[in-house]
Amino acid sequence: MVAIHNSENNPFKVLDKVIDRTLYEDYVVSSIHIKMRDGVKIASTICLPKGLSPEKKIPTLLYQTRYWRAAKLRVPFRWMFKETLIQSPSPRLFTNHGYAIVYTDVRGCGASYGTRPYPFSKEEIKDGADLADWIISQPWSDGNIVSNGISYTGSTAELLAVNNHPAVKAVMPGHALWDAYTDVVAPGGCYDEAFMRLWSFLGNKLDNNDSAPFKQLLPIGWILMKGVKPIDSDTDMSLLNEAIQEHASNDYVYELSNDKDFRDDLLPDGTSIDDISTYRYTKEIEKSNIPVLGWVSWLDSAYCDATINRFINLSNPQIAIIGDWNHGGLYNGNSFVKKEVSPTPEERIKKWIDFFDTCIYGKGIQGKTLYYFTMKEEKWKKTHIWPPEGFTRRRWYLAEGNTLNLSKPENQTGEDDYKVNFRATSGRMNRWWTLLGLPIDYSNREKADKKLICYTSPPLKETIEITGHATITLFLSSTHEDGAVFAYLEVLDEDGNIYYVTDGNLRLLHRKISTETPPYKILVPYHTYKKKDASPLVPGEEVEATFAFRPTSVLIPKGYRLKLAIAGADKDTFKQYPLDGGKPVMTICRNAVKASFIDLPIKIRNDI
Amino acid sequence: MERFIGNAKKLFEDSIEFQHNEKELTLSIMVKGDKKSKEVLGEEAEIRDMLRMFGGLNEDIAMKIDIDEESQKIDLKFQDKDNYIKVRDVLDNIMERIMDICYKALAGDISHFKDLGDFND
Repeated sequence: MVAIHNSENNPFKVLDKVIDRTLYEDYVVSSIHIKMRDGVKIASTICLPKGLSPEKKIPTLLYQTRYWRAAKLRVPFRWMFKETLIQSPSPRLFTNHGYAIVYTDVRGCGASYGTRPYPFSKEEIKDGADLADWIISQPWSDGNIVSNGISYTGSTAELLAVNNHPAVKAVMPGHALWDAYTDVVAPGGCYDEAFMRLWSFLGNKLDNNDSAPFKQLLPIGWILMKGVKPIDSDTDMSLLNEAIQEHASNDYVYELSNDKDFRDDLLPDGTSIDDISTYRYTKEIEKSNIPVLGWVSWLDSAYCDATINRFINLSNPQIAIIGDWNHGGLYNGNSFVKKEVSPTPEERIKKWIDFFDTCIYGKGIQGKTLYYFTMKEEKWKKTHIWPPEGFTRRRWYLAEGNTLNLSKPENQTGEDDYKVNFRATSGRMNRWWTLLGLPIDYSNREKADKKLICYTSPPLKETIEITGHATITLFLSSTHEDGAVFAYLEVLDEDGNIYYVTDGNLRLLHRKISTETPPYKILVPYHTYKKKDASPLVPGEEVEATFAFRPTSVLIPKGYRLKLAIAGADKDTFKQYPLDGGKPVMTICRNAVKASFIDLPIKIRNDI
Repeated sequence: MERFIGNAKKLFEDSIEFQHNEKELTLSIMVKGDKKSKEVLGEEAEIRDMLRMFGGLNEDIAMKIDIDEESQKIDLKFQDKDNYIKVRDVLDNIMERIMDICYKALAGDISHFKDLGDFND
């Protein structure tokens, strides 16, 4: 176990406690329907500190989910635990500190009535304001509301700010998207078939109160849960059954998007995938000026990009935290160091309470601060701007003999053929599958790389830190009109052990780098993923493809070697390109005229 | 939920007590703590599911199940002593088995559950 709490920049140390308040030992739970402006009834589970005196007023944490706000547990768990067991960490952490919690099933989900056309619909967002009105009208409410969550609930927390409700004092999007297209649906323009299919499938089952699929996908959920918790008065489940009937009109993202190739392809109602993106609400969120704490991991899907994009785009007072755990922070995700996840979920939540206290009772937060964890160095750092200062770009060129060199190739004709292996995979414990809450494990890279074309550098002469977005530029041709490139940045230690650092990918159809202004500020080459910019390959014609790796922060010691592994597929995660199969061969140029390279943001770390 | 495993055994002991009455061939499950409603105590099928799925009782054993909200007690009554012993042994080990299943489930060990059967939902 590596101690990381000794760092002066550890956000889980530096967010100070603002107030000491009455501690409550337990909490009481009730479940009701709350009626929205259009009559839709939202199932809500309210947790109040046990023993709260009638005159006492307390703040409320609002948590809006599409994954069941509370569960009807199986026997014998139902005898042992409250129905809020499925909420992690335990609501007790908040109620003990004098917060009320209101968990809700968003409309069209769980035991709520209504239907959902797609996630984060405008009506779903407006429900946040209605729920806030209801909360502050309760006798126990002190008029202050905060909201947090992870993944979907992280987004509902952030989108609560869109309503500009005066009671909302802080929001905390954890592991939450910013741009639905690039963060979730089609990172690099490659459709995330596995997640989109599973997510929609699971959502459909949840909305129909069917826990059976958890057996294969989330065994602990299947073991513990029989179904969603009906509201308290619904002892014969008649209201729940009525609600489920309304869910029959729900639409699911996989069905809406799996045949779409472009960002601007429209859904049946005329909306696009962008309409479920948080960035579309930048103006409204900024107008609220509500403090935002966004947190994520370097290893979690493209949500690390989402958190950086939120940080550089939103003007709100903001804290961003980027660590080294899996999606949701239950497991360590750091390939370099085997350890227990740090902070623990409990430690984390205690700091979240301090953050909320600061925003409600303290001075709030000023400006913007991003805390990031450098893997292998195992140290937290702090910056007020992104990318942080002090880094320069250094290129390593793909070279003869499957090497990576600092000097540009001098030969005129060097190139390597790679017959795309459609069995190549980064496994089912990668940064994409962790979106289902799974642990991350890239220890299979040695085996995985055998199906890829790889380039390895000589041992590094100096210790370097990579922090930020690396990019890759490939000059290549293909035998087919469509294809994709998956690039893995790895390092080898002196014993030849391989460690995954990060990856990036691009569907080559989307390779055009646009000079237009992106819809929000970005730090990487801008691919629009729009129909008008589609650029099918001409077989045999060399083209340039430049794209970013997902951001990271890692220390690479002197003597270690960089390794670039390139695939044309990731079969357990992404849709295969070309869509109609074939046996494509890519030719990667590595010569003086067309020199392919990776470009890394580095800092020499002779201090280590 | 991440503290679930650590707390489960103690919570189980705090929440549930098994009583054996060999003379009357009756096993009783006492549900302790705050009074539970009929819905929380469960239905007969759920008790059978618990014995089968978590306890590993892999045969259909004849027993009468009485669920009493007033006394917060669930009685399993048998005609046959062998059956009584089989279920008694299942209940005596059920917590250990539940812990093991939950460890595997939390670790995402899907393979373990393929042959576990299904709940009677």
